[in-house]
Amino acid sequence: MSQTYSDSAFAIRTDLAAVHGATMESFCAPGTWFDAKERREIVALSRRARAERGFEILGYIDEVLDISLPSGALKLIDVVSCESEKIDKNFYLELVSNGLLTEQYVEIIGLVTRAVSVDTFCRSLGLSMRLLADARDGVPSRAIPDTAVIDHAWVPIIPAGSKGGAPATVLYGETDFVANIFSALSLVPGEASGVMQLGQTQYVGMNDFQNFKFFRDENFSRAQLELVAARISALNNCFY
Amino acid sequence: MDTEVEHADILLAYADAIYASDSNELERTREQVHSRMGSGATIEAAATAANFSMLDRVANAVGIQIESMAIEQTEDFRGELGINEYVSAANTLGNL
Repeated sequence: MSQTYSDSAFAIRTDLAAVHGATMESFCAPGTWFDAKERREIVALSRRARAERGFEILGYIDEVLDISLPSGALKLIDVVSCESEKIDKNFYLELVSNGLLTEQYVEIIGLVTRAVSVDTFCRSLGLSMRLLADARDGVPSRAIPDTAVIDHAWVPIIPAGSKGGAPATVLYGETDFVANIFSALSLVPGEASGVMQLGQTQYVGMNDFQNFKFFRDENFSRAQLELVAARISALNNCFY
Repeated sequence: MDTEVEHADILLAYADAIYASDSNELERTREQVHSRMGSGATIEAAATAANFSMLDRVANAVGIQIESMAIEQTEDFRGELGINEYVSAANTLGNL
């Protein structure tokens, strides 16, 4: 078992521990629109928001350092963390009309949602939250994929196939189809990639998606997996 | 609801406890899953809950639409389950 879960009584599979470790490291590394200190702060604020609202985080430690963030960031972090089911297009438009770049909006969503994922896993198994490392040096790349367009979401996304060009090939591989959920954050490819890696390791890989007999543990069938997935999504009021 | 899925009762209870904030209930339901289904199943159930806690927020926050092939396939049960009443339903149904 990797260092990520050396404290766990459960024998967490290596690939899962690895992707969670990589996820935690990414929170403290420079991103596309935020530097490492800002990214780390976004995750810390998400945890604080959840803790203050009564969402349990075992072994919670407040890691907020009061790093300055753009206007609207705090509200976005709070709502995505604690009540994403209430988000509508007006919410999005209000934030990006008042100082938050669309690209920043997307990167914040990537950070917050991936943090919620790792924290939820830990809590589910009775593990304390994984602490954030120190922020690493480096500057945001500020790279915008030149084939990103408005398609199935409020924000621009990189379409799969020829329309997506080189950015699509890099992010999705040679494919003409990618599920909308995986292109959702592609305006910031680093975040989209992070979500996809978590999805393929925590859930089902793309090659196995149509395999309804797929399982990782012989005592947890695909049907049981989908039952848990559907329940969580219903509780989050997620239509998708 | 009869799902015809083995151990549905304890898996649903575990999912509900993961979503909520009652640590005693979470511990109780986790132990139920562990004792009846084993460690591996418990880990995978936790990973699944973690994954959809992430994906649901992504979907809700950027307003993605469901794929067109799924709209017709899901029409009958969406209404029955109240899914069309979600705020996020407008992202798809409002664009039909």
